[in-house]
Amino acid sequence: MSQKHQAIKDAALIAVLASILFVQQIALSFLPNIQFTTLLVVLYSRIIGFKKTMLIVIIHVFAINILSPFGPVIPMQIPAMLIGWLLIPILLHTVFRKFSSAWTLAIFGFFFGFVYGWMFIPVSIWILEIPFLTYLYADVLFELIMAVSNFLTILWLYEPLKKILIEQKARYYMTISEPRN
Amino acid sequence: MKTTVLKIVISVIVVLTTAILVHFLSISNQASSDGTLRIVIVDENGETVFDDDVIFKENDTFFDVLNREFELTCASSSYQPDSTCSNDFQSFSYTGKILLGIAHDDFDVQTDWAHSFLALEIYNGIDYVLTTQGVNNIEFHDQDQIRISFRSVLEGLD
Repeated sequence: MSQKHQAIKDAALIAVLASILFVQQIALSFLPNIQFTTLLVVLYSRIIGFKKTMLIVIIHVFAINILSPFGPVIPMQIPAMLIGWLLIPILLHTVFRKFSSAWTLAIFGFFFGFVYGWMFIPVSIWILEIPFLTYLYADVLFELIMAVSNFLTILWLYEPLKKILIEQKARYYMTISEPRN
Repeated sequence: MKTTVLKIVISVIVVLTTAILVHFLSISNQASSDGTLRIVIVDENGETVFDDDVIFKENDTFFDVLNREFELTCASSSYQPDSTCSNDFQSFSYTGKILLGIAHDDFDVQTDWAHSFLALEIYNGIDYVLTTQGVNNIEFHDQDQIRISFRSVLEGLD
């Protein structure tokens, strides 16, 4: 496969996977903090690699804030949201690069549920001027829901989805040799 | 097989523990005895339009106290003003009523939720701090001071 061909395939793959991320988050928006986003970002990080996952996350965050029917988060919170989601591929390719089983990743997802909520603390206390403890107390329930949602979805769905994605990826990148004249 | 059983057991434990925690963290706060509350209401110009004591009774929620003393406007299910305050949000994250407006004989403070809202703050002895619950679930005790003030959604971002 030529480099150009490879780049087109990569771009299409990134677009499709970002779309899946976007659609599931919109579809589950009526349930506070219950989503498959963490599961999918963990899955993408492990299967399609660091750079592509970073791009998918960046596209996802902008798409959610521009296209979501529920409206964007306030502009000051977009960096927090972006850093929050980018932490998954960053951590899984550095500190936690040895985490590969559903169990370890589920535990990672559980704690990430809290960390993601804490990413919004600086903006909330310095710009929105919400008292630190008030914010922390009000948010802990939502962090807990996200943590449990992450834990259960990764625990049950990571392995089957990993298998599917690996198979599809192999088929997608399979080179078809052109007939020689 | 063993792994699947372990997954099921762990999942059930996690869900049950979470359900218990959610129940205790989102418990409804009702007055445990009769008493009085000092209510301060601030309008869109930042002027205090009400500052007085109101009486509450055992088992009252903060909403019950306000509903007895003032004319309230709440949010309907589509966040439109509803003077009957008949809508109760039942979602786990939005349980109870949302207060959009509060009026009395000599003042009327209304918000529209999209651009403005009523901030509920409780006095902690030094300063007013935002409550962590909505109007139905605010924890309060005898002699507490609670301030209800008009706020712009973009306040602090201008």
